[in-house]
Amino acid sequence: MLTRALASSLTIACLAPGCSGSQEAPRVTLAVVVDGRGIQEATTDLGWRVQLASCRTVIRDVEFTTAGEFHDGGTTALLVREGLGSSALAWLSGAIVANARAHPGHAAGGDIIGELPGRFVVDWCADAGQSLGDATLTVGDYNGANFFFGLAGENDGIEPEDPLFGQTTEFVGTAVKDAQTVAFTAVVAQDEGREIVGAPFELDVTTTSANTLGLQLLPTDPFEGDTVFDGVDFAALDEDGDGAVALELDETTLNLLRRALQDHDYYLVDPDAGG
Amino acid sequence: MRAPSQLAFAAGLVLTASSCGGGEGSYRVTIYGEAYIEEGIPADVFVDGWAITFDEFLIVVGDITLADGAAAIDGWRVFDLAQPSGGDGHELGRVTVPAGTYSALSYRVAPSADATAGNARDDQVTMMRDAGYSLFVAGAATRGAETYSFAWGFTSDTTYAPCEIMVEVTPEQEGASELTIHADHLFYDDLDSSEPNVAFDLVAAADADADGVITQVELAALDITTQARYQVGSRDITDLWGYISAQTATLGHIDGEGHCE
Repeated sequence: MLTRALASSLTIACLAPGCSGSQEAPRVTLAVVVDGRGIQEATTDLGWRVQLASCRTVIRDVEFTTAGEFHDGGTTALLVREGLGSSALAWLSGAIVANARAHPGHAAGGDIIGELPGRFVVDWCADAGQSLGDATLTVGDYNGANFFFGLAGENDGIEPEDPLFGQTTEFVGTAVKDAQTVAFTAVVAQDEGREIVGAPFELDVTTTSANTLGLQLLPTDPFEGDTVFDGVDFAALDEDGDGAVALELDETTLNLLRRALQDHDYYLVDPDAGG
Repeated sequence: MRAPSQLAFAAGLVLTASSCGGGEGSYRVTIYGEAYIEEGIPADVFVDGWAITFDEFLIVVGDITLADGAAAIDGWRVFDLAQPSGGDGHELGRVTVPAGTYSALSYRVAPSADATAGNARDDQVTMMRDAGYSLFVAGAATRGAETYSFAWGFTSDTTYAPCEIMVEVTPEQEGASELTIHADHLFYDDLDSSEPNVAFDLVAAADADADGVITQVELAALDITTQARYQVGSRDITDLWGYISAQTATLGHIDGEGHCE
């Protein structure tokens, strides 16, 4: 079922002479899966080689974005966004004048013309190929994806004794440098409603598209080579020398991780996850 | 921000729809910093008990356009929003426009070598032009016996387009819009959250030489990457000066709390 926001956005305003009323934009449904191919060993700026064994994140409401304007035959067709005035003038102007975003919390990220609503606990390491559902996408040229973070709770199937409970992300893994190996865990909570805006997603969606979209976490930023664990000195955190650390116990490390995980460079929607 | 071609098309549509009524009317545009700039930001706004007063709040504003640009206020002007306006703001100008309903206005805050005085003094205008500033804020933060002063110039270039308005203009009824500048955003502790705190503790902590004056250099030397707050999303911002500079792009609003893209 389409959410109200997307259902509204899918209405086309016909502006050519002689064109009256509105029509629905053509759209397709594409499968979305967890794509584990992004999980590769990452070498941090401090020389630690980090391998993740478990990497769970609570996300919700994946959105797919474009510039917001397309052409259908000889008629200029514009996507209408929700929340605009009721008068004909407001409606028409709203077709191309989207909601204001110069205020914090209104980050720009293109127009949303596709979505996968819902709430998911994703294990980027273990759930490769797992279906998240079918996304509804308006025909168009896509160049970005957004999603929101959540805090895990019993409604997500996460029990109170689970380390992820009340958190957004849980990592379990090992870090190796020279002859030293440190096993680590980390739990990170993001503010409710914190959003990833503009994760790469490049696909020209047509009425015949049948792609499978793979949602990935990338421990290494493919553009700049930074890693999610840059700045984390695993040896220094292992004060008792037992080879095991809980990263969240160090506030500085926790803040570094929280900040890194908000960066859209560490996420990707691969339009060819179906092989 | 939207691509210029889209905005131009949008504005054209608005003008077409609005010009059905015939005749012309007047449209007045003002700029206002509200009580937070003219009188100060009170301590109860800050989560950490600071209060701010501004001695100067200089802003360079131009490219003010209604509809498709046929209705525009020409030129760039420098205003000192810290000067009292009696709650009315400061007039940017009046233009004659076709009668109708207007739903979009845009403006830009940017450095301009051609800027002239709005209500600012000549020496303030000269300083803004020579330094290439779009925004200059000078003032003090106080909490009990603690006081810090600051004087920061920013070179950011921000286009607020479109700003949402719904203004009817007739030959008998003047239209009006207020460019509203929100100073408290300078002290927001998150670039993305819709509910950020207004805070000053970290800014105060930047005063490395403990002289009571917080400088751009000191702010730039403060690494925010390990802070619990001051989140920046995907932006490549690692220091407090870069953070506050980014926040300057969020100051502009329309008619009080109205938003601009």
